Amino acid sequence: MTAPVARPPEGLSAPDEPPHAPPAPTRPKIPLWNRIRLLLLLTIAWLILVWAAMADNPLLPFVDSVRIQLHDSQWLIWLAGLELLRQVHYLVAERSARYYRFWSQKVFGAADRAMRKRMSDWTRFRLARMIKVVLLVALFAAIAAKVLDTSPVLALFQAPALFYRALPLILQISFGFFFIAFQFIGLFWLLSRGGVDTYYPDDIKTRFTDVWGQDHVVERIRENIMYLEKPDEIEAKGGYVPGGILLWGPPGTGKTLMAEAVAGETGRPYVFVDPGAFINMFFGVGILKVKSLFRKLRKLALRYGGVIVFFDEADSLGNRGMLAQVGPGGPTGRGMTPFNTSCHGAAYLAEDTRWMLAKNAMGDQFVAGAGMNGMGGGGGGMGTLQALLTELSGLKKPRGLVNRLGRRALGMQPKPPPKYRILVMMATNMPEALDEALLRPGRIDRIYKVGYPSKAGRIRTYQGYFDKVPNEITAEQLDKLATITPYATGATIKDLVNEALITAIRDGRNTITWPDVVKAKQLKELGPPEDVEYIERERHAVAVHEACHAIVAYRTRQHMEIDLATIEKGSDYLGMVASIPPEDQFTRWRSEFESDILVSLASLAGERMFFDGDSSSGVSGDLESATQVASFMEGFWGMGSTVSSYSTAQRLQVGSPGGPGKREGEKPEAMLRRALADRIEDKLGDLLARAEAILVENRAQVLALAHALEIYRTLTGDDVEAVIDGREGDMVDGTAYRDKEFAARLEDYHAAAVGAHHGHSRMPIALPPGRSTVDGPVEGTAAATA
Amino acid sequence: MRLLRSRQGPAVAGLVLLAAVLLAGCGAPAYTYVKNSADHMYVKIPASWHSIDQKDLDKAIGLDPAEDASSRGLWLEAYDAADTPSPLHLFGSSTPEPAALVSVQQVPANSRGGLSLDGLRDLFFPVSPTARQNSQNPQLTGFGLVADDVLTPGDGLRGVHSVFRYSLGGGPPQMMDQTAYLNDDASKVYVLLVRCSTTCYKDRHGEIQRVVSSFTIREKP
Repeated sequence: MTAPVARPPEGLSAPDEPPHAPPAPTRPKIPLWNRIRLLLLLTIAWLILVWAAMADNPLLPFVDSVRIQLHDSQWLIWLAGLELLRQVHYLVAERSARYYRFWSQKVFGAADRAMRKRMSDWTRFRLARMIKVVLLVALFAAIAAKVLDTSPVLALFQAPALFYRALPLILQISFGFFFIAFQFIGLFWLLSRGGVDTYYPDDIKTRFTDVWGQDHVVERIRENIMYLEKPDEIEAKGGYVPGGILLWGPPGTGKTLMAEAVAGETGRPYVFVDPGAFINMFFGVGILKVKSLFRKLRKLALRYGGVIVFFDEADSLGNRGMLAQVGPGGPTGRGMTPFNTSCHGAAYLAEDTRWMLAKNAMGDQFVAGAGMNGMGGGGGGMGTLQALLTELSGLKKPRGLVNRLGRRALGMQPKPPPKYRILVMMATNMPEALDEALLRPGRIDRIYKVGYPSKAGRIRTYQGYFDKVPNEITAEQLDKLATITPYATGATIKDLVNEALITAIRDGRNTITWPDVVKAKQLKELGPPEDVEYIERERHAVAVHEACHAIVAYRTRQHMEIDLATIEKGSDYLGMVASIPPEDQFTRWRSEFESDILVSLASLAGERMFFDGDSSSGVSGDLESATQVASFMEGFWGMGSTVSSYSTAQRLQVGSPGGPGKREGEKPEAMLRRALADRIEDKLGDLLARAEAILVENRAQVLALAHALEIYRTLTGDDVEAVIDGREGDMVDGTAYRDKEFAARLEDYHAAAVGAHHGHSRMPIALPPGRSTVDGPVEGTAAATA
Repeated sequence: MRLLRSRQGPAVAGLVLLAAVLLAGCGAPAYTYVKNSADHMYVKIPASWHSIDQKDLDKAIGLDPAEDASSRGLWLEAYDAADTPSPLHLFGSSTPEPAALVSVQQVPANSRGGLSLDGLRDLFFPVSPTARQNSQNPQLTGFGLVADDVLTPGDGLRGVHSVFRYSLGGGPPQMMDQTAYLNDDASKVYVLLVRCSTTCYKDRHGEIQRVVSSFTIREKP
């Protein structure tokens, strides 16, 4: 057996390429169709003549017609004979190298070489095609002349007339066909309207200066706009203009505002695509919409030198699920992976490891993230997403009927498509719900997270919104406000300022003051208070509960500040102590988690301590969070006595460790308490004891803070600290609590409350009055709403 | 054999079919299919009959050879079974072998009302009793009517088929088989006349019958 000889590719070489070398020893084989098609054509032409003669004479039978045409249309037979001879010649040339060499080199060699010298392959191809067309027309004319009994030239001119005469019939038939089709065409055309708005420069007044707190992203977008307007700057150096931007991040962070600013700043048309545009009743309408959208974009891009298209809520485009061919290394690695909460993004891991981790994480998160659109089918219906992908970066085919068909009919190459400068912007809250193919460079080149604004950004945003309304907020207060609202977004800031304005107007004032802002913030964070009056002993119990939280938080928690403490009943809580991080912080530490648990457990420890071992069900939420954090510390974060990750151990079913190795002199009962749950319980027990110790040490402060809460109901973080430290705060004068005698009165009051608690009786003594920095002495609940 | 691989089977079959068609065509057609496409007149004449030269025919009838069929309003062709075709066989006194004349004549608008079935019968020879009574031609003797059928093939066509006998100028009796049609608006007269001596007519009756029965007029294309 001989190895098959690899033959060079057949056919014409591409323009500007030398002919394929070396030439084959025999003529390349041609398919059967190519061998017989000309013979077939001539036979059919001759049969047409036979048929025409029969149609013209009712007496003429087929056999006689054949006989007559064999005589009358001999030229066709001769042509067919010549063609047959040619094919036999080819057949021999395909088999005999000598024969082929003789004909191709000796006989036609010189002519062929001369031809090649004068004409390029493409010219020869076009010339040959033109000759073929002329011959075909000539054959048609000859046959038509026979059938119409006239001269070939006249027959050619009569052909259109014949067509014209047959036109009514053709129209009738095609109308029957199109009658049904047109209904659908019309329906789909109507359905594929809408969902796309075009804005022209100066239609929108929003500018980049209106986007506050996202300067780093705005800077990048500005750059993109610049490249769109001056593409030469980058293209002259061999680069290309980035064609797509994805903005993603939590809701309300200003993605759409940014897009609006782009529309306002750019000198190009701006096309806004409605998120619902691709949700349709019928399959295929989405595809039509995408196509018509991009047709429009190309038109605008050509007319105005560029166009920006913005897809809001791009997750509505859906995704097709995980791509099979995503290689190791994870699907994106652009900070949208499951690792985005970790410090490292898993970048230091080996590629395979990363891939495996990503796949596991995807299994958990992707389905939830992708939602209904998830696996299988794009959001807008079958093929919509795919159509979009193709339009974003598909084959750049020539456009235009004249260009494509006209030029080709004349044997010219169609002009290549011009450069359409289309900048695609997308915004989404769910980047994981986007198709990966959509996000690849070339389609979406740049992916920016529009996150919560930094503190500086928040200050800028507050400043911006406060500048629009009359206010008396100082720079320090603004700074503080930005500090105590760490996750504020543009939307929530706008809302807060508006709420503060409403609060001020409700009070009959025209300018916003700091208390308005504080009140608005509390309203926004806690919702409206339910205005429930506690009975005195219960009010005291709740106040003690919250005071315990606050004291432990103040004593142990350095990474958070108390934002507010309240005993006003809300929809789902009796009271609360809210904390906020004083600065932007991205890592969490074991000591912080432990102090979090201490704060949570403080309520249970305090209730047991202050109410003689009794405790309420109000601690359930605290215990839940304490247990959860302790479990994560023990099983996930390596902050307990073992190292391995419990979740991974569970998933891979390797079992979880029973604690550290055996230690010298370890008691058997200690060894038994090595299960994860036991270790968590032990940890919580230790921390409960620590919390109790802290509370014992700060008993007086707890009662003082409880008293302040009972009087004012809601305290700001500053006031809480003032009470604990015994200094003057914003509203509460904490110096009163330094008085020993007053402390004794608070102890008496507490003792009376405990007595009433045990006996379910009324309080025998009244709440001692406190002192406000604003109004002087205040009594009981009267001051609470101040 | 390398030439006959399975993939080339259809090609070979096609070639065989082509060869069969060519072979079938090898025989010459048995008839000459005479037609006047414009006037939709068709007739088939045995291939052994020869066409009479158009010029000789024109001269024999006395037509101006400079005019063509359309300008003179008369289209005609003649065929002769004799080895040397001659118009004499059509118009002479004796025709030992069959001769046929086929013609289409345009009738001028002003004379369209005058053509009756008798008029068709009497196109060449007086056949109807009235015509014969009025006929003063001493050359025509020995009349005998063999057949006379009125034809109505449809589409408004009407005609008459007459077979009769005459001796011309004292020669042997000749059989005339004449079919004439008038179209719906009486604008065209179609005629097929086959003549032959009585013996010949008897001998070659089948052949003549085939010619006569093939005479077809299509008023609608």
